[in-house]
Amino acid sequence: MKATVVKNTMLSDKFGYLELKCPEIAKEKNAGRFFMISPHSDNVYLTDTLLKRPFAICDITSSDTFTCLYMITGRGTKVLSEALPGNNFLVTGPVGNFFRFEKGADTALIAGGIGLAPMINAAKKLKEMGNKVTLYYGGRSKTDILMYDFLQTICDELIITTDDGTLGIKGNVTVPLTDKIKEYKKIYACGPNRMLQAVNTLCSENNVPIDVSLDEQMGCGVGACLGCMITVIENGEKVMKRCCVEGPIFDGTKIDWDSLIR
Amino acid sequence: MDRLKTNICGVEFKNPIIAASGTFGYGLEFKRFTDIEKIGGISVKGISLHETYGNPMPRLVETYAGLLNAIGLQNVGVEKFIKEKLPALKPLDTRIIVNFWGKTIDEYVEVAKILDSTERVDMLEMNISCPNIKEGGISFSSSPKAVEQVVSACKKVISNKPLIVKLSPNVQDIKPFAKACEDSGADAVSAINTLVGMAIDVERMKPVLANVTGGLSGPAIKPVALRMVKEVFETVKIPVIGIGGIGNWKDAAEFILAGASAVQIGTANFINANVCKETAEGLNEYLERKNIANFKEIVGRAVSC
Ligand SMILES: Cc1cc2nc3c(=O)[nH]c(=O)nc-3n(C[C@H](O)[C@H](O)[C@H](O)COP(=O)(O)OP(=O)(O)OC[C@H]3O[C@@H](n4cnc5c(N)ncnc54)[C@H](O)[C@@H]3O)c2cc1C
Ligand SMILES: Cc1cc2nc3c(=O)[nH]c(=O)nc-3n(C[C@H](O)[C@H](O)[C@H](O)COP(=O)(O)O)c2cc1C
Ligand code: FES
Repeated sequence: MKATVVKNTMLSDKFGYLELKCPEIAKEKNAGRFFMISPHSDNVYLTDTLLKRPFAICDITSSDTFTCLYMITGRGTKVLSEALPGNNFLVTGPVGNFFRFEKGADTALIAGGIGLAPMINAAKKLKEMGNKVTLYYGGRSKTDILMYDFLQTICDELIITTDDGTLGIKGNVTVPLTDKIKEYKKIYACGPNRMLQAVNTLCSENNVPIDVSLDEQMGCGVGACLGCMITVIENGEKVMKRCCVEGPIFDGTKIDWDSLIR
Repeated sequence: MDRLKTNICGVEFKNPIIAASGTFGYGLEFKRFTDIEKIGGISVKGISLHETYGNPMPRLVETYAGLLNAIGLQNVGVEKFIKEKLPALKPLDTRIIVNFWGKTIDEYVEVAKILDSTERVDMLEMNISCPNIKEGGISFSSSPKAVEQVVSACKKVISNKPLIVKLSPNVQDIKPFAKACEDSGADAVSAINTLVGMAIDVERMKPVLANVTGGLSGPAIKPVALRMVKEVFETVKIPVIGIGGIGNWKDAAEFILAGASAVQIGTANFINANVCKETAEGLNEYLERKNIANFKEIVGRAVSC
């Protein structure tokens, strides 16, 4: 299956925003699922990157287009940053499970860094259901906070934190969340593992259920290679789940966090 | 596509393209993304006597033109495989090859016995690239003698299905290993399994894989695999199934010309879910263009100048 680049915009030297045309993925109705993309543009030597890379479905922009918010971290994302309109990429998707939102429940979305990607679609979904949309979004510094104006338009409440205090509240997302956590029936979070663990601890202490969307190395993205295992604790026993099929969204209280922080 | 029809050890294949073990799950994971019935056969994830949980994470790392994996042979075990995975494959019009392994010769024999009497299993493929815990963890493919022992022990309990032995490339000379398989009754050999390698994270100053080393697959290993398939082809009379870095019809044609009676495609499935189907189609067009009635005519055609 192919996706065609419609638009590719650099948001800073580290982040880019890609709009792709692929009706099979754009027709996805749930938020939180992802897709795999093989990052070689038409003019890059075929073996530059081998495997497909996983990315969240960030926003659905029409019946046949969707977006991908990416952070340049290595070879594959570098190639993506150089993609031009009209370039074709092999894609697989949509894959993975999705956020199960409850109508009317008071919830908060928590995003750390590039963990913002699935939360845009999630915010829109919540709004569509008539829920209030609250997004906590943390980054290192002001320049790492992406799409601020756009986020204002899709959230009822937007709480920004930065480690250095250059925008919003100084500190990480748990700083403002600590005071408000009891108000929420459920938390949905995506971001670096350490941040997720901290949010999870806060939720556990306050008996608030939490679903986290995890990032793990992936080979196939469809459940065939067993390369993406997440260790969860079920009935006191450690069991392995495939991040690409049983995930990427897991009950935060069941995750064996020690195995993830490495 | 008559040009692609073949018969390997008495089993009819609509085409000689097989999805390689460990890269196609239990056969249905790719169902949403490709037409599985266009593939000649599927070799399922390596099955053992007991359920196995595999290695800690990380288990995968991409290298230049290659993939290192240390999955650790995770599988549901033979009983669950037959009960929970195999029934779903029943209606599929494609050949089912069950890849299997053991930690001791007895375990190999036990799994082989069970699979031999299991309906819908068309062929068995024995993976000998694993450590023998009774022999202090040295590989079953450490010497031709060790291979002979495990193959002939399994052959004694297999009476219904052809046995393929999958060779390890991590040996000084693959020829005596292929010969050992043939002499102990193997019906076919497949080559190659992954090449042992490693990758290092220079920031953490540690190996990337939790298992330290892993098996290399993908385009990086193709020239090595091709050379080994040629050597095996020249050594034995039983059919050779070529594996290693195949990603399109041209790669597959190279293996056939080197002596492969069929080929398996592994890592490439991750990049293009349709690769097996497209390889079969491309091969058919190639044969048509070359005016060759069946690919069997050119098996081993290019082993010398
Ligand atoms: C479900 C899921 C959703 C994701 N969504 C997004 C997103 O919306 N935006 C975004 O920027 N990133 C996202 N990521 C992370 C993204 O997949 C990696 O940053 C990307 O694969 C890095 O590729 P690279 O070639 O640039 O890096 P390299 O380091 O060159 O990659 C080498 C290999 O490592 C793998 N790899 C490296 N880092 C990661 C990682 N963090 N996670 C998984 N595999 C990795 C690559 O797939 C590749 O096989 C997501 C990951 C997962 C699992
Ligand atoms: C993730 C992964 C898992 C594998 N698991 C098995 C296995 O269980 N049994 C086996 O015999 N080979 C296994 N292999 C080896 C492949 O079947 C194949 O021999 C090898 O990958 C070379 O082919 P390729 O380059 O086309 O991938 C595995 C390979 C990969 C990449
Ligand atoms: S990435 Fe292959 S099983 Fe999850």
